[in-house]
Amino acid sequence: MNPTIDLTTPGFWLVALLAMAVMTPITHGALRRWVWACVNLLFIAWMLRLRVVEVVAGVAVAHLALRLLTCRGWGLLIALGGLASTVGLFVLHKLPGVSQGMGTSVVNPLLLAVGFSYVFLRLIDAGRVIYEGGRAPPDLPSTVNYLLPFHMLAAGPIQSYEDFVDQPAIPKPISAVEALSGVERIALGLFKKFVVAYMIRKVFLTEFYVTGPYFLFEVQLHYLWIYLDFSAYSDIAVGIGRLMGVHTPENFDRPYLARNMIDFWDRWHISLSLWVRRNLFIPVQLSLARRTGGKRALMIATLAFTVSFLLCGLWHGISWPFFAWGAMHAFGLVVTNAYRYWLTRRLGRKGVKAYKEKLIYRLLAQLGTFQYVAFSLVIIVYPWKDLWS
Amino acid sequence: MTDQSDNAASVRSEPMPPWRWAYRLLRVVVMLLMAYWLSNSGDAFFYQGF
Repeated sequence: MNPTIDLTTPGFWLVALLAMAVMTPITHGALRRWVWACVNLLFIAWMLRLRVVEVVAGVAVAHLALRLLTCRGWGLLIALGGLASTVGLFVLHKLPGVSQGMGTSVVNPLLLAVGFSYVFLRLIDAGRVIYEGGRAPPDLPSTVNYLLPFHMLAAGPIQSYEDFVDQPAIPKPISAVEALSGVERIALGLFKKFVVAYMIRKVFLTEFYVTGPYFLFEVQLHYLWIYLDFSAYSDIAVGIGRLMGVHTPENFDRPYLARNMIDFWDRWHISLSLWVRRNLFIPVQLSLARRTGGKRALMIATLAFTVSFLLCGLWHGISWPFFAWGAMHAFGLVVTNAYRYWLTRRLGRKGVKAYKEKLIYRLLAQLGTFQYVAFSLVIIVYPWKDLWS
Repeated sequence: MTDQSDNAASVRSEPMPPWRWAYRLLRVVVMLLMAYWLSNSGDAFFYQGF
C-alpha cells in the first residue's frame, strides 16, 4: 500500500506542534539540524508507517552519493550512476502495480521513499547543484531534512537545494505578528481544502459524467477546485514552516490571472516550474545552443519546452492522459513564445508594452489562458475508459 | 508578489491595534472550526440527493 499523508489525522498536527516546540528554542545549528532530522524520521515512521532503518539506509546511500559527486575523476561516474538509479527507482515506483507487487521486501520502503515524487525532484536538484560545484554536499541530518521535510511531503513545495543551503542555520526569532500570520496561513489552507474545495467538489463536480452546458460549467469549477485544494497544501506547508523557522517557498501567485502559458507557469506550482527550468529547460537549451553556436534560438526554445513539459507530464504519472497534458502545456508554451517573438519583431518593445497595457487584450488573454488550462486538466481526469466502452 | 503578499505586508506593519488582533484571531478560529466540522461530518452535512 502506498503511504498517504492525511491532514485530518491528529498525528500530522502533533508532529507539527512537536517540531515547533522543540526547534524554536534551539540556538545551536548542528543540534537544530539533528533535532529536525529526528522529527522528520518520527513522521516517516509514525504517519507513513515506513521502517525507519530502511529509510535511513536509503538516505545514507543518497548522502554518500551526493558527497562522492565532488570527487575528482569519480564525480561524472557517480553522477551518471546516481541519476540512472534514481530515475530507474522512480519509474519502477510510478509504473502501476510494481511497488504493490513487492510486498514487504527491503526494497519496497526505499521505493516508496524515493518514489515520493517530490523527494525524487529534490534528489535530482541537489545532485545537479553539487556536481556543478554550486554548493557543498549536505551532512547526514541535512540530507534527511532536505529530502524528507515532513510538512512538504504531501504536495510540495519543492525547495531548491541552493535555497535550502542558504537559509540561516538559526532563524531569527519570530514576532507575535509573524506567528499569527503563520497560524493564519494554516487556517486559510484548511479552510480552502476542507470547506471551499470540499463543497465545490461535493455539490458541483460529477467527474465529468455530464454533457452539454453543465460540462463546460464543470470544467471551470474543476480548475477552481484543483487550485483551491492544491494551493491549500502549500498554504499549510508555508504556515508550518514559518512557525518552525524552516524556509518554505511560496508555490502559487494567483494563477487564474495568467495572461499566457509562460505567465501561468510563473504563477502555478512555482517551485515545480523553477525546478523544470533549472534541471530540464536550461540544460537542454544550453546543450542545443552550444551545438548551433547560439543560432536558431526560437527552434531551440521550442525543443527545450517540448522535452521539459513532456517529461513534466510523465513525472505526474506514467500514463497517456498525463503525457497528453504535458504535450498540451508544451504546445501552449511554444505558441506563447513564438507569438511573443513575432509580436516583438512586428511592434518593437515599446509597441508590445503598449499592446499589453490594453485592458481588452489583457482580459481576452486571461480568459483564453484560463480556458486552456481548465481543459488541459480535464484530459487527466476524464473517464476515457467509460467513453471507449 | 504571491497569493499571500497581503499577509507579508501586514507582518511588516507593526504595531497592530488590539481590535485588529481580535479580528484576525476570530477569523482564524472561524476558519478552523468550519474546516474541523466539515472534515468530520463528511457526507452527512450534505443533502444526499446531490
